[in-house]
Amino acid sequence: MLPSRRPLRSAVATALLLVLAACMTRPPAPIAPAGGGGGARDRGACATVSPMPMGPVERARLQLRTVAVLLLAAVASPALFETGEALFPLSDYPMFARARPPVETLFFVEVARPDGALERVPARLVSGGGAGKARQQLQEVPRARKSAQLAYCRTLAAGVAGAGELRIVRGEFSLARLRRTREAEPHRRTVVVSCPVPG
Amino acid sequence: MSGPLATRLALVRVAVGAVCVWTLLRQPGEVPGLGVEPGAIFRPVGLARLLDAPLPPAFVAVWQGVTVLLGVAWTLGWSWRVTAPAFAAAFLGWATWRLCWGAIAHDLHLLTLHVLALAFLPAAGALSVDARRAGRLAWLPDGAVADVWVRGGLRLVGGLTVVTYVLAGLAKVGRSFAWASGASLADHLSVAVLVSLVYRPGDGLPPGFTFVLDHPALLAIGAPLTLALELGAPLALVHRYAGVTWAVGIFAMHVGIAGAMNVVFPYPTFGLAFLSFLPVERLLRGQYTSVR
Repeated sequence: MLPSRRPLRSAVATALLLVLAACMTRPPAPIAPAGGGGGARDRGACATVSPMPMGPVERARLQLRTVAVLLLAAVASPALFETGEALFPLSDYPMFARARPPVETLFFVEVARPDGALERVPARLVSGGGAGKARQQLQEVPRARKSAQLAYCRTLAAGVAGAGELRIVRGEFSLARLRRTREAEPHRRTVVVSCPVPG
Repeated sequence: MSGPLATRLALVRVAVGAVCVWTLLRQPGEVPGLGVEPGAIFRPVGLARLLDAPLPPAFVAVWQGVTVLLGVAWTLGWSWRVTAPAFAAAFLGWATWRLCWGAIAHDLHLLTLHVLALAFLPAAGALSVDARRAGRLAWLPDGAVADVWVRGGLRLVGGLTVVTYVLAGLAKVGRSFAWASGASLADHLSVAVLVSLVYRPGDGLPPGFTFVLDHPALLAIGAPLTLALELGAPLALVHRYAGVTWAVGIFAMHVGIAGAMNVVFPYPTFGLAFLSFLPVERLLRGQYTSVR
Protein backbone atom coordinates (compact mmCIF):
# COMPACT_ATOMS: atom_id res chain seq x y z
CA MET A 1 0.00 0.00 0.00
CA LEU A 2 1.34 3.40 -1.00
CA PRO A 3 0.34 6.68 0.61
CA SER A 4 -2.22 8.52 -1.50
CA ARG A 5 -0.83 11.25 -3.72
CA ARG A 6 -4.10 13.14 -3.63
CA PRO A 7 -3.92 15.56 -0.71
CA LEU A 8 -7.56 16.67 -0.96
CA ARG A 9 -8.77 13.11 -0.78
CA SER A 10 -6.51 12.27 2.13
CA ALA A 11 -7.52 15.39 4.03
CA VAL A 12 -11.23 14.74 3.57
CA ALA A 13 -10.81 11.08 4.48
CA THR A 14 -8.96 11.99 7.65
CA ALA A 15 -11.69 14.47 8.59
CA LEU A 16 -14.30 11.83 7.86
CA LEU A 17 -12.57 9.33 10.10
CA LEU A 18 -12.50 11.88 12.90
CA VAL A 19 -16.23 12.57 12.47
CA LEU A 20 -17.00 8.87 12.48
CA ALA A 21 -14.81 8.21 15.48
CA ALA A 22 -16.60 11.03 17.30
CA CYS A 23 -19.98 9.57 16.35
CA MET A 24 -19.06 6.10 17.53
CA THR A 25 -17.39 7.11 20.76
CA ARG A 26 -19.49 10.06 21.89
CA PRO A 27 -21.23 9.78 25.25
CA PRO A 28 -24.20 7.48 24.84
CA ALA A 29 -27.77 8.28 25.69
CA PRO A 30 -28.56 7.69 29.36
CA ILE A 31 -29.32 4.06 30.00
CA ALA A 32 -30.99 2.78 33.11
CA PRO A 33 -28.54 0.50 34.89
CA ALA A 34 -29.54 -3.09 34.55
CA GLY A 35 -27.75 -6.33 35.18
CA GLY A 36 -24.75 -4.76 36.88
CA GLY A 37 -24.27 -2.01 34.27
CA GLY A 38 -22.79 1.40 34.98
CA GLY A 39 -19.08 0.95 34.93
CA ALA A 40 -16.08 3.18 35.15
CA ARG A 41 -17.69 6.19 33.45
CA ASP A 42 -19.89 6.77 36.51
CA ARG A 43 -17.07 6.45 38.98
CA GLY A 44 -15.20 9.63 38.22
CA ALA A 45 -11.49 10.20 37.76
CA CYS A 46 -10.54 7.58 40.31
CA ALA A 47 -11.50 4.93 37.78
CA THR A 48 -8.47 5.81 35.71
CA VAL A 49 -6.18 5.40 38.70
CA SER A 50 -7.50 2.13 40.03
CA PRO A 51 -9.93 0.75 37.44
CA MET A 52 -12.90 -1.19 38.71
CA PRO A 53 -13.88 -4.38 36.92
CA MET A 54 -15.99 -3.56 33.87
CA GLY A 55 -19.71 -4.20 34.00
CA PRO A 56 -21.50 -5.85 31.08
CA VAL A 57 -22.63 -2.52 29.64
CA GLU A 58 -19.14 -1.04 29.64
CA ARG A 59 -17.78 -4.26 28.18
CA ALA A 60 -20.39 -4.18 25.39
CA ARG A 61 -19.50 -0.57 24.63
CA LEU A 62 -15.81 -1.38 24.47
CA GLN A 63 -16.36 -4.38 22.20
CA LEU A 64 -18.65 -2.44 19.87
CA ARG A 65 -16.31 0.55 19.66
CA THR A 66 -13.34 -1.65 18.94
CA VAL A 67 -15.15 -3.39 16.10
CA ALA A 68 -16.52 -0.10 14.78
CA VAL A 69 -13.25 1.80 14.80
CA LEU A 70 -11.35 -1.07 13.16
CA LEU A 71 -13.97 -1.63 10.46
CA LEU A 72 -14.49 2.03 9.66
CA ALA A 73 -10.77 2.77 9.58
CA ALA A 74 -10.21 -0.19 7.25
CA VAL A 75 -13.02 0.85 4.90
CA ALA A 76 -11.82 4.47 4.78
CA SER A 77 -8.18 3.50 4.29
CA PRO A 78 -8.26 3.39 0.45
CA ALA A 79 -8.58 7.18 0.54
CA LEU A 80 -5.34 7.43 2.46
CA PHE A 81 -3.45 4.61 0.75
CA GLU A 82 -3.51 3.50 -2.88
CA THR A 83 -4.92 -0.01 -2.60
CA GLY A 84 -6.83 -0.36 -5.86
CA GLU A 85 -9.14 -3.36 -5.85
CA ALA A 86 -6.53 -5.66 -4.35
CA LEU A 87 -8.08 -5.68 -0.90
CA PHE A 88 -11.75 -6.52 -1.53
CA PRO A 89 -14.10 -5.58 0.09
CA LEU A 90 -12.05 -2.41 0.44
CA SER A 91 -12.14 -0.11 -2.56
CA ASP A 92 -11.74 3.53 -3.52
CA TYR A 93 -14.93 3.26 -5.64
CA PRO A 94 -13.61 4.62 -8.93
CA MET A 95 -16.78 3.88 -10.92
CA PHE A 96 -17.98 6.85 -12.97
CA ALA A 97 -14.90 8.79 -11.81
CA ARG A 98 -12.30 8.69 -14.56
CA ALA A 99 -12.62 10.76 -17.72
CA ARG A 100 -13.87 8.75 -20.71
CA PRO A 101 -12.36 9.01 -24.19
CA PRO A 102 -14.75 10.23 -26.91
CA VAL A 103 -14.51 6.84 -28.63
CA GLU A 104 -15.19 3.63 -26.74
CA THR A 105 -13.84 0.31 -27.99
CA LEU A 106 -15.91 -2.79 -27.28
CA PHE A 107 -15.55 -6.37 -28.41
CA PHE A 108 -18.85 -8.08 -29.07
CA VAL A 109 -20.29 -11.19 -30.68
CA GLU A 110 -22.70 -11.17 -33.61
CA VAL A 111 -24.23 -13.69 -35.97
CA ALA A 112 -24.44 -12.91 -39.68
CA ARG A 113 -27.52 -14.68 -41.03
CA PRO A 114 -27.68 -16.00 -44.63
CA ASP A 115 -30.10 -13.17 -45.53
CA GLY A 116 -27.48 -10.61 -44.45
CA ALA A 117 -29.08 -9.71 -41.12
CA LEU A 118 -26.71 -9.12 -38.17
CA GLU A 119 -27.80 -10.25 -34.72
CA ARG A 120 -25.91 -9.39 -31.55
CA VAL A 121 -25.35 -12.29 -29.15
CA PRO A 122 -26.34 -11.35 -25.57
CA ALA A 123 -23.84 -11.39 -22.71
CA ARG A 124 -25.43 -14.32 -20.91
CA LEU A 125 -24.65 -16.56 -23.92
CA VAL A 126 -21.10 -15.25 -24.09
CA SER A 127 -20.02 -15.44 -20.45
CA GLY A 128 -22.92 -16.86 -18.50
CA GLY A 129 -22.83 -13.61 -16.57
CA GLY A 130 -23.53 -9.95 -17.00
CA ALA A 131 -22.34 -7.36 -19.51
CA GLY A 132 -19.21 -6.50 -17.54
CA LYS A 133 -17.97 -10.06 -17.47
CA ALA A 134 -18.69 -10.61 -21.18
CA ARG A 135 -16.87 -7.40 -22.01
CA GLN A 136 -13.80 -8.43 -20.03
CA GLN A 137 -13.73 -11.92 -21.50
CA LEU A 138 -14.05 -10.74 -25.09
CA GLN A 139 -11.26 -8.20 -24.57
CA GLU A 140 -8.93 -11.12 -23.99
CA VAL A 141 -9.69 -12.82 -27.30
CA PRO A 142 -7.25 -10.85 -29.51
CA ARG A 143 -4.41 -11.73 -27.14
CA ALA A 144 -5.00 -15.47 -27.55
CA ARG A 145 -3.45 -17.73 -30.18
CA LYS A 146 -5.36 -17.99 -33.47
CA SER A 147 -6.23 -21.65 -32.82
CA ALA A 148 -7.58 -20.77 -29.36
CA GLN A 149 -9.61 -17.92 -30.83
CA LEU A 150 -11.16 -20.30 -33.32
CA ALA A 151 -11.90 -22.87 -30.63
CA TYR A 152 -13.61 -20.18 -28.54
CA CYS A 153 -15.58 -19.02 -31.57
CA ARG A 154 -16.83 -22.57 -32.16
CA THR A 155 -17.76 -22.95 -28.49
CA LEU A 156 -19.91 -19.83 -28.72
CA ALA A 157 -21.36 -20.86 -32.10
CA ALA A 158 -22.50 -24.17 -30.64
CA GLY A 159 -24.84 -22.27 -28.33
CA VAL A 160 -26.49 -20.27 -31.12
CA ALA A 161 -29.62 -21.42 -32.96
CA GLY A 162 -30.13 -21.21 -36.72
CA ALA A 163 -27.66 -20.94 -39.57
CA GLY A 164 -25.07 -18.27 -40.24
CA GLU A 165 -21.60 -17.13 -39.30
CA LEU A 166 -20.56 -16.16 -35.79
CA ARG A 167 -18.12 -13.27 -35.50
CA ILE A 168 -16.20 -11.73 -32.65
CA VAL A 169 -15.93 -8.09 -33.60
CA ARG A 170 -13.85 -5.16 -32.37
CA GLY A 171 -16.06 -2.10 -32.63
CA GLU A 172 -15.28 1.57 -32.12
CA PHE A 173 -18.23 3.58 -30.91
CA SER A 174 -18.42 7.37 -30.83
CA LEU A 175 -20.20 8.56 -27.72
CA ALA A 176 -21.29 11.77 -29.46
CA ARG A 177 -22.81 9.72 -32.27
CA LEU A 178 -24.64 7.52 -29.78
CA ARG A 179 -26.15 10.61 -28.18
CA ARG A 180 -27.12 11.99 -31.59
CA THR A 181 -28.52 8.89 -33.26
CA ARG A 182 -29.38 6.91 -30.11
CA GLU A 183 -28.17 3.78 -31.83
CA ALA A 184 -25.24 1.60 -30.74
CA GLU A 185 -23.62 1.09 -34.13
CA PRO A 186 -19.83 1.17 -34.38
CA HIS A 187 -18.34 3.67 -36.81
CA ARG A 188 -15.41 1.30 -37.30
CA ARG A 189 -15.45 -2.48 -37.00
CA THR A 190 -12.89 -5.26 -37.39
CA VAL A 191 -13.71 -8.96 -37.35
CA VAL A 192 -11.25 -10.65 -34.97
CA VAL A 193 -12.34 -14.21 -35.69
CA SER A 194 -15.31 -15.90 -37.37
CA CYS A 195 -16.66 -19.41 -37.69
CA PRO A 196 -19.80 -21.09 -39.04
CA VAL A 197 -22.81 -21.66 -36.81
CA PRO A 198 -23.51 -25.41 -36.89
CA GLY A 199 -27.21 -24.72 -37.50
CA MET B 1 -34.56 -8.51 23.29
CA SER B 2 -37.27 -6.26 21.96
CA GLY B 3 -38.01 -2.68 20.99
CA PRO B 4 -38.29 -0.71 17.79
CA LEU B 5 -34.57 -0.45 17.18
CA ALA B 6 -34.02 -4.17 17.69
CA THR B 7 -36.74 -4.67 15.08
CA ARG B 8 -34.96 -2.26 12.74
CA LEU B 9 -31.66 -4.07 13.15
CA ALA B 10 -33.48 -7.35 12.49
CA LEU B 11 -35.01 -5.89 9.34
CA VAL B 12 -31.53 -4.87 8.19
CA ARG B 13 -30.41 -8.47 8.81
CA VAL B 14 -33.34 -9.90 6.83
CA ALA B 15 -32.76 -7.48 3.94
CA VAL B 16 -29.03 -8.20 3.79
CA GLY B 17 -29.58 -11.95 4.00
CA ALA B 18 -32.27 -11.94 1.34
CA VAL B 19 -30.16 -9.91 -1.09
CA CYS B 20 -27.16 -12.18 -0.48
CA VAL B 21 -29.15 -15.36 -1.12
CA TRP B 22 -30.71 -13.84 -4.21
CA THR B 23 -27.25 -12.77 -5.46
CA LEU B 24 -25.84 -16.23 -4.82
CA LEU B 25 -28.64 -17.96 -6.69
CA ARG B 26 -28.72 -15.48 -9.54
CA GLN B 27 -25.04 -15.32 -10.39
CA PRO B 28 -22.89 -18.38 -10.84
CA GLY B 29 -19.82 -18.39 -8.63
CA GLU B 30 -17.75 -20.08 -11.26
CA VAL B 31 -17.03 -18.73 -14.69
CA PRO B 32 -18.35 -20.87 -17.51
CA GLY B 33 -15.35 -21.81 -19.59
CA LEU B 34 -13.70 -19.13 -21.57
CA GLY B 35 -12.43 -21.31 -24.37
CA VAL B 36 -9.49 -19.07 -25.15
CA GLU B 37 -7.40 -20.11 -22.17
CA PRO B 38 -9.13 -21.26 -19.02
CA GLY B 39 -6.97 -19.23 -16.68
CA ALA B 40 -6.49 -16.26 -18.96
CA ILE B 41 -8.69 -13.78 -17.13
CA PHE B 42 -8.30 -15.05 -13.60
CA ARG B 43 -7.27 -11.83 -11.85
CA PRO B 44 -7.50 -12.56 -8.16
CA VAL B 45 -8.51 -9.84 -5.74
CA GLY B 46 -8.53 -9.76 -1.95
CA LEU B 47 -7.76 -13.03 -0.22
CA ALA B 48 -7.89 -14.89 -3.54
CA ARG B 49 -4.49 -13.39 -4.35
CA LEU B 50 -3.11 -16.23 -2.27
CA LEU B 51 -4.22 -18.61 -5.03
CA ASP B 52 -1.99 -19.52 -7.95
CA ALA B 53 -4.81 -20.89 -10.08
CA PRO B 54 -8.62 -21.01 -10.09
CA LEU B 55 -10.28 -23.39 -7.67
CA PRO B 56 -11.85 -26.56 -9.08
CA PRO B 57 -15.44 -25.88 -10.27
CA ALA B 58 -16.83 -28.71 -8.10
CA PHE B 59 -15.34 -27.10 -5.00
CA VAL B 60 -16.86 -23.75 -5.93
CA ALA B 61 -20.26 -25.35 -6.51
CA VAL B 62 -20.25 -27.00 -3.06
CA TRP B 63 -19.03 -23.79 -1.47
CA GLN B 64 -21.84 -21.88 -3.15
CA GLY B 65 -24.42 -24.39 -1.93
CA VAL B 66 -23.17 -24.20 1.65
CA THR B 67 -23.15 -20.40 1.49
CA VAL B 68 -26.77 -20.38 0.31
CA LEU B 69 -27.80 -22.62 3.23
CA LEU B 70 -25.95 -20.40 5.69
CA GLY B 71 -27.57 -17.38 4.07
CA VAL B 72 -31.03 -18.84 4.65
CA ALA B 73 -30.11 -19.52 8.30
CA TRP B 74 -28.85 -15.92 8.58
CA THR B 75 -32.04 -14.52 7.10
CA LEU B 76 -34.19 -16.60 9.45
CA GLY B 77 -31.97 -15.70 12.40
CA TRP B 78 -31.27 -19.26 13.46
CA SER B 79 -28.39 -20.10 15.82
CA TRP B 80 -26.92 -16.65 15.25
CA ARG B 81 -23.72 -17.10 17.24
CA VAL B 82 -22.56 -19.73 14.77
CA THR B 83 -24.37 -19.08 11.51
CA ALA B 84 -23.62 -15.33 11.43
CA PRO B 85 -19.80 -15.54 11.47
CA ALA B 86 -19.88 -18.67 9.31
CA PHE B 87 -22.04 -16.99 6.68
CA ALA B 88 -19.94 -13.81 6.82
CA ALA B 89 -16.78 -15.80 6.13
CA ALA B 90 -18.40 -17.90 3.41
CA PHE B 91 -19.97 -14.91 1.68
CA LEU B 92 -16.77 -12.85 1.85
CA GLY B 93 -14.98 -15.74 0.16
CA TRP B 94 -17.67 -16.21 -2.48
CA ALA B 95 -17.89 -12.49 -3.26
CA THR B 96 -14.11 -12.34 -3.55
CA TRP B 97 -14.18 -15.31 -5.92
CA ARG B 98 -16.87 -13.75 -8.07
CA LEU B 99 -14.77 -10.60 -8.57
CA CYS B 100 -11.68 -12.55 -9.61
CA TRP B 101 -12.79 -12.69 -13.24
CA GLY B 102 -11.92 -9.26 -14.51
CA ALA B 103 -15.18 -7.38 -14.18
CA ILE B 104 -15.19 -5.33 -10.96
CA ALA B 105 -18.73 -4.18 -10.38
CA HIS B 106 -19.05 -2.39 -7.08
CA ASP B 107 -22.41 -3.85 -6.18
CA LEU B 108 -20.94 -6.41 -3.77
CA HIS B 109 -18.70 -4.16 -1.71
CA LEU B 110 -21.22 -2.46 0.58
CA LEU B 111 -23.30 -5.62 0.87
CA THR B 112 -20.23 -7.58 1.99
CA LEU B 113 -19.24 -4.86 4.46
CA HIS B 114 -22.72 -4.92 5.99
CA VAL B 115 -22.55 -8.71 6.26
CA LEU B 116 -19.21 -8.44 8.09
CA ALA B 117 -20.52 -5.76 10.46
CA LEU B 118 -23.79 -7.54 11.24
CA ALA B 119 -21.91 -10.74 12.05
CA PHE B 120 -20.50 -8.89 15.08
CA LEU B 121 -23.94 -7.68 16.22
CA PRO B 122 -26.92 -9.37 17.90
CA ALA B 123 -29.03 -8.84 14.79
CA ALA B 124 -31.22 -11.90 15.40
CA GLY B 125 -32.79 -10.49 18.54
CA ALA B 126 -36.13 -9.97 16.81
CA LEU B 127 -37.99 -11.38 13.81
CA SER B 128 -35.99 -14.57 14.09
CA VAL B 129 -36.09 -18.23 15.00
CA ASP B 130 -33.74 -17.45 17.90
CA ALA B 131 -36.13 -14.85 19.30
CA ARG B 132 -39.01 -17.34 19.24
CA ARG B 133 -37.11 -20.29 20.63
CA ALA B 134 -33.85 -19.30 22.29
CA GLY B 135 -31.35 -22.08 21.78
CA ARG B 136 -27.82 -22.43 23.08
CA LEU B 137 -26.44 -20.73 19.98
CA ALA B 138 -28.71 -17.69 20.09
CA TRP B 139 -27.33 -14.28 21.03
CA LEU B 140 -30.04 -12.38 22.85
CA PRO B 141 -28.62 -9.67 25.12
CA ASP B 142 -31.14 -7.90 27.29
CA GLY B 143 -31.70 -4.55 28.92
CA ALA B 144 -28.96 -1.94 28.78
CA VAL B 145 -26.49 -4.25 27.06
CA ALA B 146 -28.94 -4.87 24.22
CA ASP B 147 -29.49 -1.14 23.94
CA VAL B 148 -25.75 -0.53 23.53
CA TRP B 149 -25.41 -3.19 20.83
CA VAL B 150 -28.52 -2.24 18.88
CA ARG B 151 -28.04 1.54 18.86
CA GLY B 152 -24.32 1.27 18.24
CA GLY B 153 -24.83 -1.47 15.66
CA LEU B 154 -27.25 0.58 13.60
CA ARG B 155 -24.81 3.49 13.79
CA LEU B 156 -21.99 1.24 12.61
CA VAL B 157 -23.98 -0.08 9.63
CA GLY B 158 -24.90 3.50 8.73
CA GLY B 159 -21.30 4.62 9.18
CA LEU B 160 -20.06 2.00 6.74
CA THR B 161 -22.64 3.12 4.18
CA VAL B 162 -21.55 6.72 4.60
CA VAL B 163 -17.84 5.97 4.19
CA THR B 164 -18.36 4.12 0.90
CA TYR B 165 -20.28 7.03 -0.60
CA VAL B 166 -17.72 9.58 0.57
CA LEU B 167 -15.00 7.49 -1.05
CA ALA B 168 -16.99 7.40 -4.30
CA GLY B 169 -17.30 11.18 -4.14
CA LEU B 170 -13.61 11.64 -3.39
CA ALA B 171 -12.71 9.48 -6.38
CA LYS B 172 -14.67 11.85 -8.63
CA VAL B 173 -12.99 15.01 -7.32
CA GLY B 174 -9.58 13.43 -6.82
CA ARG B 175 -7.91 15.74 -9.29
CA SER B 176 -10.42 18.54 -9.78
CA PHE B 177 -14.04 19.48 -9.42
CA ALA B 178 -14.57 19.30 -13.22
CA TRP B 179 -16.83 16.30 -12.69
CA ALA B 180 -19.43 18.68 -11.29
CA SER B 181 -19.92 20.30 -14.70
CA GLY B 182 -22.00 17.39 -15.95
CA ALA B 183 -19.91 16.66 -19.07
CA SER B 184 -18.20 13.70 -17.46
CA LEU B 185 -21.54 12.38 -16.22
CA ALA B 186 -22.90 12.59 -19.78
CA ASP B 187 -19.98 10.46 -21.01
CA HIS B 188 -20.42 7.87 -18.27
CA LEU B 189 -24.13 7.77 -18.95
CA SER B 190 -23.42 7.18 -22.64
CA VAL B 191 -20.88 4.42 -21.97
CA ALA B 192 -23.25 2.61 -19.60
CA VAL B 193 -26.05 2.77 -22.15
CA LEU B 194 -23.70 1.70 -24.95
CA VAL B 195 -22.57 -1.34 -22.97
CA SER B 196 -26.16 -2.19 -22.16
CA LEU B 197 -27.23 -1.97 -25.81
CA VAL B 198 -24.27 -3.96 -27.10
CA TYR B 199 -24.33 -6.77 -24.55
CA ARG B 200 -28.03 -6.89 -23.73
CA PRO B 201 -29.52 -6.23 -27.16
CA GLY B 202 -33.04 -7.11 -26.04
CA ASP B 203 -33.19 -4.38 -23.42
CA GLY B 204 -33.48 -1.41 -25.76
CA LEU B 205 -32.71 2.21 -24.99
CA PRO B 206 -33.44 3.14 -21.35
CA PRO B 207 -36.27 5.69 -21.31
CA GLY B 208 -34.41 7.78 -18.75
CA PHE B 209 -31.44 8.14 -21.11
CA THR B 210 -33.60 9.66 -23.83
CA PHE B 211 -35.23 11.95 -21.28
CA VAL B 212 -31.89 13.18 -19.97
CA LEU B 213 -30.57 13.80 -23.48
CA ASP B 214 -33.69 15.81 -24.25
CA HIS B 215 -33.26 17.81 -21.03
CA PRO B 216 -29.50 18.54 -20.66
CA ALA B 217 -30.17 20.78 -17.66
CA LEU B 218 -30.73 17.58 -15.70
CA LEU B 219 -27.05 16.72 -16.13
CA ALA B 220 -25.97 20.19 -15.03
CA ILE B 221 -28.06 19.76 -11.88
CA GLY B 222 -27.53 16.05 -11.38
CA ALA B 223 -23.73 16.06 -11.35
CA PRO B 224 -23.23 18.58 -8.51
CA LEU B 225 -26.17 17.06 -6.65
CA THR B 226 -24.54 13.64 -6.86
CA LEU B 227 -21.30 15.05 -5.49
CA ALA B 228 -23.16 16.84 -2.71
CA LEU B 229 -24.93 13.63 -1.69
CA GLU B 230 -21.72 11.61 -1.75
CA LEU B 231 -19.38 14.08 -0.08
CA GLY B 232 -22.08 15.28 2.31
CA ALA B 233 -22.92 11.75 3.43
CA PRO B 234 -21.39 12.18 6.94
CA LEU B 235 -24.18 14.64 7.74
CA ALA B 236 -26.48 11.62 7.75
CA LEU B 237 -24.87 10.58 11.02
CA VAL B 238 -25.38 13.90 12.73
CA HIS B 239 -29.16 13.84 13.20
CA ARG B 240 -31.86 11.29 12.51
CA TYR B 241 -33.79 13.62 10.19
CA ALA B 242 -30.59 14.30 8.26
CA GLY B 243 -30.14 10.54 8.03
CA VAL B 244 -33.62 10.03 6.64
CA THR B 245 -33.20 12.92 4.19
CA TRP B 246 -29.86 11.63 2.97
CA ALA B 247 -31.12 8.07 2.63
CA VAL B 248 -34.08 9.23 0.53
CA GLY B 249 -31.79 11.40 -1.60
CA ILE B 250 -29.21 8.71 -2.29
CA PHE B 251 -31.98 6.18 -2.97
CA ALA B 252 -33.44 8.61 -5.52
CA MET B 253 -30.00 8.90 -7.10
CA HIS B 254 -29.83 5.13 -7.57
CA VAL B 255 -33.32 5.07 -9.04
CA GLY B 256 -32.20 7.77 -11.47
CA ILE B 257 -29.11 5.75 -12.39
CA ALA B 258 -31.28 2.69 -13.03
CA GLY B 259 -33.67 4.67 -15.20
CA ALA B 260 -31.04 6.48 -17.23
CA MET B 261 -28.26 3.90 -17.45
CA ASN B 262 -29.93 0.51 -17.10
CA VAL B 263 -27.51 -0.06 -14.22
CA VAL B 264 -29.29 -1.75 -11.32
CA PHE B 265 -27.40 -2.57 -8.14
CA PRO B 266 -30.24 -4.30 -6.28
CA TYR B 267 -29.02 -3.56 -2.76
CA PRO B 268 -29.03 0.24 -3.07
CA THR B 269 -31.45 0.57 -5.99
CA PHE B 270 -34.26 -1.04 -4.00
CA GLY B 271 -33.34 1.09 -0.98
CA LEU B 272 -32.29 -1.89 1.14
CA ALA B 273 -28.80 -0.52 1.80
CA PHE B 274 -30.27 2.45 3.68
CA LEU B 275 -32.68 0.74 6.05
CA SER B 276 -30.51 1.56 9.08
CA PHE B 277 -31.37 5.25 8.57
CA LEU B 278 -35.09 4.78 8.13
CA PRO B 279 -37.85 4.07 10.65
CA VAL B 280 -38.76 0.88 8.83
CA GLU B 281 -39.81 -0.78 12.09
CA ARG B 282 -42.92 1.39 11.88
CA LEU B 283 -44.11 -0.83 9.06
CA LEU B 284 -44.33 -3.68 11.56
CA ARG B 285 -44.97 -2.08 14.90
CA GLY B 286 -46.37 1.36 14.27
CA GLN B 287 -43.74 3.07 16.39
CA TYR B 288 -40.43 4.81 15.96
CA THR B 289 -37.52 5.57 18.22
CA SER B 290 -34.50 7.66 17.39
CA VAL B 291 -31.15 5.93 17.07
CA ARG B 292 -29.68 8.82 19.00
